[in-house]
Amino acid sequence: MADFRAVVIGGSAGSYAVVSRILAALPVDYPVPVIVCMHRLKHVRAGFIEALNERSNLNVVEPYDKQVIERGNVYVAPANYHMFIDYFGSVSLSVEDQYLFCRPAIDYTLESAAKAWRSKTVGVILTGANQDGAKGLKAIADAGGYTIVQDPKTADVPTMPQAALRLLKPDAILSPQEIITFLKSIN
Amino acid sequence: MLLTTNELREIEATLAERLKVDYSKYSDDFFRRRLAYVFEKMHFHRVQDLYAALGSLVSSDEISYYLAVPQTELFRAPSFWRRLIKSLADGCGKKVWLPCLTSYHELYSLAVALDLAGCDDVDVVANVLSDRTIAECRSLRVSKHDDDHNRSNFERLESAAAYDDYVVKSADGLSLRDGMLGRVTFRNGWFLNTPDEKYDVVICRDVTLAYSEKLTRQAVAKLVDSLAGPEAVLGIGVMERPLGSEERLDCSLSADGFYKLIK
Repeated sequence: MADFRAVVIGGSAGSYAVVSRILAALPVDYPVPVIVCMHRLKHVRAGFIEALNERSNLNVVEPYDKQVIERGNVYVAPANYHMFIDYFGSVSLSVEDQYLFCRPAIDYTLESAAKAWRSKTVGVILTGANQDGAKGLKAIADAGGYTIVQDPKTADVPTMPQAALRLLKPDAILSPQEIITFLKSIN
Repeated sequence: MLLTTNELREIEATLAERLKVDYSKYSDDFFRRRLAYVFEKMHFHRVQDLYAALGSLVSSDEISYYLAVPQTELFRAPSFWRRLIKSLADGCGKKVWLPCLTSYHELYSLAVALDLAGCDDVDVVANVLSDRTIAECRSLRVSKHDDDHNRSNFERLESAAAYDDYVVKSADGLSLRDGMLGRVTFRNGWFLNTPDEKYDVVICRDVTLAYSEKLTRQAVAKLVDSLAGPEAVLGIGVMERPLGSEERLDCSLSADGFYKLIK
């Protein structure tokens, strides 16, 4: 598989369980950083990251603003902040207006990742209840990156994957287990 | 709206001259996004429209207003406000500074916090970048759009008081209770250009998110220098760090965004 620089995952309703499975399956020496943007309740801070860390072999963090992105880590967008990836490969947080009633917005994370890492980006859209993420995944596709949409038939809520499929033809439409198999094969 | 790097640099230089804020030290990605927002809000189609608007005091003020990122809820991150109320009630001082107030939310939240802490003799200085922000703050109006969030956040302050004691129905909709901003002084100007003064409480949340790392370090240094003494507190966003000044600060309360000078 090509020399990717990051995996960027977006999801909403039902995605926590899928992300948890993915992180439990990726090995401790996974070759690229993993960026995760999930819609989440703004007041739920304590326990969210800790629970993901329980199952993950990688170190799961809510990054600080301007934190440098490094392999070995999973960066989860903090509640009530948008998470952008800046051109130099650092996290850039923001409290700009909600987007599609969401903050963090998946489109913002994916679009900025596409600008930062271009064809070296793997973008994944999971189950969720609105169309946030579709434009972002298209941006990754337009930049030459690899795009995956969770098979709507396997999604708790198929709205998000279906929105992505209306906007682009991804490189793969996969079940959660197939997503894991693919992600383990990169680089 | 796609700007070339040269166009961006020219805009930064012009804004620095007209608005007295050095946007060249802001994060490039943020500044591009925010300019796009300004263009949308002010119906600019070309860069020349922006320059033309800068020729008018009113339009210049609007540009400053839209370039700033407002908070969108009262009592954002309620654990911060719970911690602040406790510090105020414990007597952490009489002078509060909001170095970069971008909307009424932080000011009104502070006013309520002061009242909940029983502090009726605390002076507040708020630096703002636009007269429109000052006018909005003085109007006492609270957006109905945010009401559910505000109530939810207020409940998390775990106070015996009621939200409706502070945000009241008015002829225009909702308002902060009258008389709560009596000791607030507004200063129009970028805090990094202001003379050094000392404060007991400095609240500057989610402001340096817009800055480059270099500017963040400069800004944090100024904020830390403004602390009046070891009992003074600095409050920044929970996902911000006091870059470059960590060694000067007690970070034991950093989970809530609070820092003090090391004794």
